[in-house]
Amino acid sequence: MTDLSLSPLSEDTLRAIESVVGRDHVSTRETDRLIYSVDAYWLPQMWLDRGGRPPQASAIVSPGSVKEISQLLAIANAARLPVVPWGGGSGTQGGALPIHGGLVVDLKRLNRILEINENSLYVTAEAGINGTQLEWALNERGLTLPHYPASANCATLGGYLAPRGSGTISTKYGKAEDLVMSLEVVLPGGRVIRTPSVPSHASGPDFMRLFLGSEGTFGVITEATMRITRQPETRLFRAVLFKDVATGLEAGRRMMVDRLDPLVIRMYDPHSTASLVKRVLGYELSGAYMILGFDGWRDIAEAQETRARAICDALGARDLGREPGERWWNHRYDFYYPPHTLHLPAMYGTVETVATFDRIEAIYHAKKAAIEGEFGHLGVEYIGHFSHWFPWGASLYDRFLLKSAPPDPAEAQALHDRIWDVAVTTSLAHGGMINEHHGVGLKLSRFMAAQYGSAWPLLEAIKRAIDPNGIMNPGKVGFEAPAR
Amino acid sequence: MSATPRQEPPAPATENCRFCWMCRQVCPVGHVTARETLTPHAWALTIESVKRGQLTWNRETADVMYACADCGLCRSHCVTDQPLPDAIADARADLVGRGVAPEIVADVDRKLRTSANPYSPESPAPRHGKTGPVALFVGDTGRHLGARSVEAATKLLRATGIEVVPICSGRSSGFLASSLGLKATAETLGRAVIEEVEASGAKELFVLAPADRWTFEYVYPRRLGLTWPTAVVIREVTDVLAGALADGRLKIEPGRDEAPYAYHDPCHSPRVAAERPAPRALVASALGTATSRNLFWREHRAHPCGAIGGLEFTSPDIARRLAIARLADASSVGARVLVTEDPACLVHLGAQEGQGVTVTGLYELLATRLRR
Repeated sequence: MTDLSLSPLSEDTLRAIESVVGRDHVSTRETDRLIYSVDAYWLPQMWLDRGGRPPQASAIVSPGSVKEISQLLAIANAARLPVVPWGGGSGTQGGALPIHGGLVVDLKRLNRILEINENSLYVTAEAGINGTQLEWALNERGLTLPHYPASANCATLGGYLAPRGSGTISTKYGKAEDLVMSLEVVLPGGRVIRTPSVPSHASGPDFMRLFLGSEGTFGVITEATMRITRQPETRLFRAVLFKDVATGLEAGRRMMVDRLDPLVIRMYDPHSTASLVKRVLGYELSGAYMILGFDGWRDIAEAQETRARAICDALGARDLGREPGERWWNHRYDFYYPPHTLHLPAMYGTVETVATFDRIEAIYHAKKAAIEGEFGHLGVEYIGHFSHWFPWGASLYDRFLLKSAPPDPAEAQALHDRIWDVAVTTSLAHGGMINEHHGVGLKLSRFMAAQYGSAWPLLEAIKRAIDPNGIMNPGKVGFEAPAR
Repeated sequence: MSATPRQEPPAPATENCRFCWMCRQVCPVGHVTARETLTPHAWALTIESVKRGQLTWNRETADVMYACADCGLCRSHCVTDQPLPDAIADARADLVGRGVAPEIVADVDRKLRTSANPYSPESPAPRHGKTGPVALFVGDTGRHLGARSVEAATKLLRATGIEVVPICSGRSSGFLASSLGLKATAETLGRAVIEEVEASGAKELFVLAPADRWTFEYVYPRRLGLTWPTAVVIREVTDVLAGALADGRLKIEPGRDEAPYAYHDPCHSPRVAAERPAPRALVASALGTATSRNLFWREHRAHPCGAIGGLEFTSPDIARRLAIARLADASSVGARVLVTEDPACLVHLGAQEGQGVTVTGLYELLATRLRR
């Protein structure tokens, strides 16, 4: 795509955009441009913390309708102006950063619930609706969207889907992508398309899934219909303690292959049990702390739990009872509030991955050895937990942490990138994916070609077909930005 | 297994909040404006960016800072209790000191200094010299916006056997000034209130709405460094009346075929209590429970109506949109009547009345249903 070029925002284009969305909904103000230059990615935060300035958009645009977004993209496409969709700004991968300038398109004005269908159990809403606000509206009717990410308080519905997010109960209910039934998307030239009304059919290829994980590089998701469910009749939680990660992983594997349908299996490795769990939940434990959750009809949930306990007992786990499980559930988001969460001036990154059961333990040990071996002398720590389980494997939510990052920001960034290189290449070398649910964004873009190998040119060709001018979120998800 | 107490090193709220998005769902201003820049994390980041020289205090950044409603919902929902609203009030004081606050702030300051309220050139009512064990804080909103609420509340209290001494009629509590960054003015107003409370000889001070309780219990000591007279207990009138209703000292005639209603928790409610059963019991005594609907933004996440934090002066459009959102919320749950007790909320919501919803004062409603 090097023969194409992106352009800066001209006065004429700015006036044209204002005529579409109204002057009140276009901003070139310094404050707005700064605020929209940072998301939950450590890198821009670090630069801002140290007095620097991450790349900024030329303008922030807040359209109020699909029609306006369509017209906006048509203008941007004709002007070859970068367009970066923005939901809650809570992504950790830099996916919403305007690294090539252009327009940040904030979708939060598209926040209506269009239909709650209590017969077929689905909700249709605009993509900019806040996740928790959507959940409250469903709860009013005894319903729930069973996607409970830690970011729900800030993320939008579109932001759930664009990076293929997972929530804390994905083990039973699936990821956001498993809950979506249909999408409305505005393509770069301004065309508005809808995917079929149901996700399961045999009427041609499932092109809806192209947009799940595209993170705004193929278009702007403007509306989604999601599968919902009744709030459960009961939720049962308890905790157990394993002597190590290996036995805990085996217990989780047996629960999944035995079809016990757990709501939650979350196992903290001994290091995070001793540090994170102690700090946030206040428990002093030695070993691998695992939370188990089951929901639905009480008799069924109890039966599932009984079988899960038998598996744990057989593997020598210590039963901690209900309170440590319920406490985790009630405080599961506390981990993400400062100062509990990892925060500046430390350096940190969530280098999570996903793999089959036969590989996941080896990946954990390999990453721990690689990161601590190569960077341990600098004080880098490695912690992890296993939080999203499938019938075939599990995700490893692992992190590195360096409490005292180098004072020079360029040096800090270089070290940060080196640690990421080691973490991701180790995951890939041992059969893991670069990521399970945070998405690719800017942070992992450079690893996409290596991950997909011979399939990567196909993805690039699809990108060119959908977005020939390369205006959509350039530089993300592995798709290089056209040269200026 | 043992639980150990949490020990976290303190850090400024703005440092903690600048890159935290965890209270986004409750920020009413962020909700109605849909602007990232008008959310708690962005206010914190703006303050921190000024500290680092990436932004400067000017009219643009001042407009951003004065768009916060100072409703406290961000802090009420914060797991680690970050006092961001106080930090925003401090930043506004800095803006005032530098002379870059919006012009309306100086105008409000002038009014508060000359007549102790922003609504009328009339000065506060002179002290009447009456004393008694119970005083009722009338304030500036009670006198200039809610005289009927004061009259009705007094009548209801009398019916329960409580005579109140009205004090501070026409005098701002100082919260408005505090919120706008007018610290010196807020302190002056606060001292005058405390003097009048002490002069009344009261052991209990009744307040009409949560805003006043929060001001006396939190703003005075924490923002203004004022000491509340320790012998004087602050009670909300709704709590007093609900107690009287429960023990039979207050009798309310229930209506028949009432229109569906919803109750609006007044601005600042989440700052004083997670849930507020007292006003709900009172309104139910008059209008019944069968048609009552909680609002979507209810109880511990009570969405303010915009009559808060000086927003009606500094950002009237946002204040208006907050009221419209509240009325739309009531309409969406089928309510035809929206009941609340705060005089400022009544006036502000009443100005946007529409969407098939009428706004009714709780005290006024109860007073008309008082059973002899």
